[in-house]
Amino acid sequence: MGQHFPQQQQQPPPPRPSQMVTVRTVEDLERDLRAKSQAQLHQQQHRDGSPLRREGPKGPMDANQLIEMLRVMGTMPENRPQGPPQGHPNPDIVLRLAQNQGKPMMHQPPPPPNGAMMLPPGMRHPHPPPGMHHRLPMNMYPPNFPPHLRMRGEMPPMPWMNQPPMPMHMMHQPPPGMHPHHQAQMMSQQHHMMMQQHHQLQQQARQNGSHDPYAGLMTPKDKQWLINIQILQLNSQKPYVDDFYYTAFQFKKQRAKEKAGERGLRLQRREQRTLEPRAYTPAHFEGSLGKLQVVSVTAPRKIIDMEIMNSDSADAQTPVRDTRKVKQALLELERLYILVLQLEDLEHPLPEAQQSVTECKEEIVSKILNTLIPAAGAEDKFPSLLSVRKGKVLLLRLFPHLLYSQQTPLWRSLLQNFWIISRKDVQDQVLFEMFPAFREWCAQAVLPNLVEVISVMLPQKSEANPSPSNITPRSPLPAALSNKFGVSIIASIINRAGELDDNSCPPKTHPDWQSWSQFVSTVAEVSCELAIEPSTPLDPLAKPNSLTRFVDNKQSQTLQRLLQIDNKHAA
Amino acid sequence: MLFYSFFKSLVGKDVVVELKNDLSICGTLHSVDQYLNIKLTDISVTDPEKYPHMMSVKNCFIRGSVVRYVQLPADEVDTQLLQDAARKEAATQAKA
Repeated sequence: MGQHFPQQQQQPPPPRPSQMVTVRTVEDLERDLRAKSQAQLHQQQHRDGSPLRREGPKGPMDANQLIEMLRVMGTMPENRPQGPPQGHPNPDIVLRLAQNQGKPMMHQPPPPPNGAMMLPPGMRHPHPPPGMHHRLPMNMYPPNFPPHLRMRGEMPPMPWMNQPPMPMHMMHQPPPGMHPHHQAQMMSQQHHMMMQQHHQLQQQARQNGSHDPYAGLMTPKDKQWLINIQILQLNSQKPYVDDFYYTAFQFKKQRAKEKAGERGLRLQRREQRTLEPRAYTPAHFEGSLGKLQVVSVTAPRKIIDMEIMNSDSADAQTPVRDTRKVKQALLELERLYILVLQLEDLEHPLPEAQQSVTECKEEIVSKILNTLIPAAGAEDKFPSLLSVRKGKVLLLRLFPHLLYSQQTPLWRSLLQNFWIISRKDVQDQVLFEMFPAFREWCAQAVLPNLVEVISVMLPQKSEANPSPSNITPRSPLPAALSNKFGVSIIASIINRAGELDDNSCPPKTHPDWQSWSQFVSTVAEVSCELAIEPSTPLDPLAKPNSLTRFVDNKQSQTLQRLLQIDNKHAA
Repeated sequence: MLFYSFFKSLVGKDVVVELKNDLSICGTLHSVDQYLNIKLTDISVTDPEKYPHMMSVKNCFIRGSVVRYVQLPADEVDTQLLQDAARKEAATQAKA
């Protein structure tokens, strides 16, 4: 086109030169005709002196900053369009949102409270038609819209328009008593003003050397109007739900800051500068046949009935069976994750988060446990779920919310399937992160709990076939002993049992102690047989003397060597 | 609203935006909107300066639909939180 634009702009494509020429001619004509009505055109206009901010806003992008961003977006060219003279504010309801510009741009009268209408002098208050709401205008025309054209539903010729847009609403009756001459005067004044602005800007631009034919076409009020539409769409009453990532991220940062000692401001909840959503009543037209559908920004309507159909894929007939199992496990995990997220929401400090969960804690927990702990005869999904990294992380996040009694069967299941789980953990190394949770559990254990957990490691008494889903009927003990995590678990258990024994929690004649001694001797045996050098536990044993009660000397020594007990501590 | 929320938390950080026309622009993320239009300040064109017409440009507005990739600083992203956000979004959409 031969025109060089210094920057990309969010502006419509360049028009043909002939159209521009036409517009100018019309302007000239009008100017000649209206040469008499010169009123209110010599107001000093402030330049919008705020440069584009070099650094972006840090922190919440509230409505203010969004307005600023969008406003600046619209004023990209170097020569900023000057503030509108705005001799008379337009009879539109000014949204409260729009007024927080904070820039000394315009000599605007102070914003009216919601519901009031600002009128140019000389106009009577128009009677709103029945059914029209006061707070938000249904016909949201831009501020500079010539009113008399509005009434007819037309627009002044614009350079970039190829087809005239449909009017959004039909406006109400012109205010009674409005003189037609008055209307024409208003319209001409506005039009005149706009073209003047445009030309002024262009002249300045030419003086400066740059040439921007698109400067000054929209007044800041127009831009503000557009910005408000976008902001309206983004308004939300529940930021934690609609805007989760940002809200939670800021919350975490704030908490980290507070922990680090900087007692800054409390988390600034973004003020709800929203208009209360009002019940939408569709526009009513007199004398029309049937219901006409009226679409607006605040009440969008479906035009095309479209649904997305999932086509059945004929491919992937025989996926690798393993992959399918893994995928099923992953899907199951996602389902569980949603439940765990609900659990965490219940504990979240923000009240909004708590309100977003409908069920109570017990229900959610029971749902989760139903999946993790197999019902009688049902297939045990635990090993497949725990083989994946996601599953272990899920368990980690779940433990803080569980009661003690609910954790026990999970630990038991973990030990039972230790072979598979430890094998698959080699890459992930997530098991170690579970150790603190186990330590906590162990510290509160009483002997029956311990026995329950270790029962999976005792040799099977009956040779009856275990459940078919149990892939490895072998005892998990060798696996546990060769894995650092496993050894740590066993060491903690033995530790705890020692404490209990010292305190004689269940008396020494309790049958559980027999199971216990059996366990300890089994451990000693297995550790002797182990070909590989067992790893050292994370928590070294503290009280070795308890062991001597259950095992003979040789085994005790083996155990001590195994568990790296310092012989100085031996009684 | 997931990515709008996500990008809002990255405002002020340095990112590299790769467009569908293969142009890569490095700059500070100034703002983002619900259509994921991006506004960058202090931009420079990465890779060889095959695009000399961008030399004088300091700030730019990029329409969301032309973006192919946005390269982010890794330590500004909480992946765990992002996963949770995605799960919540999926759950909300499944409900609706």
